[in-house]
Amino acid sequence: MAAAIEATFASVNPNVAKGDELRRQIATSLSETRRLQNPNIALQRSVYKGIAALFEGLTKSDADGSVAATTAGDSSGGVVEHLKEHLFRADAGSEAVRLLRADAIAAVVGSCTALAAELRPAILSLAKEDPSTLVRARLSGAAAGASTS
Amino acid sequence: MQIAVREAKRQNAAYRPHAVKALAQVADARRDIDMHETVMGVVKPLLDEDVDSDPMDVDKDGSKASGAADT
Repeated sequence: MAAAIEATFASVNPNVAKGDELRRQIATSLSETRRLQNPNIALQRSVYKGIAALFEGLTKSDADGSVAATTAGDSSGGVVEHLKEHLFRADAGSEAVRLLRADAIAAVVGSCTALAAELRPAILSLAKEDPSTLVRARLSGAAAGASTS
Repeated sequence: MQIAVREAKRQNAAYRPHAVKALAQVADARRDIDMHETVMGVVKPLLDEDVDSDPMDVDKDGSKASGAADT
């Protein structure tokens, strides 16, 4: 199942898909992986790594700003809502998994200014609650990036 | 690409995770084509299976089961 999640996120290709099609592919990947009931640690790792790789890829391919426009134009809330469900769920598990989640959050924030602004309050709230100093530091860094980007 | 898709569609439970992982690697490597629909066609039934299944009624490894019965 972890391999299926990897394949789902790897199949989104911002070099080829643009605009509405790219947004639809991202939303589909996020919603399909969100359907998993009680994902174990291996699945959670795959989801967070997949999201991080996807949004890092978006940032790299976004030379003309079209990807930022794509996610910012997400007025229906599909991508943003799915991201919130994935990244801010209560049962994130061990510190290692929460670090991966923090990396995924940082990748998402780095990809789009509008998305960063929308997620910033939730990131700050998450950073306050986390018991690990390492995770808190990464989340705070992501939140700082969200405020400056 | 077609080979990776064909292998990922095989039903052997022990083989399939490796084939799907290979498909993920192919999708990641091929930045020149759009593989989303193709990959989702393979992966969605697996995700549906997981969502619908009850893990208690699946015995994936027959050799372990028979070994346990022998002891």
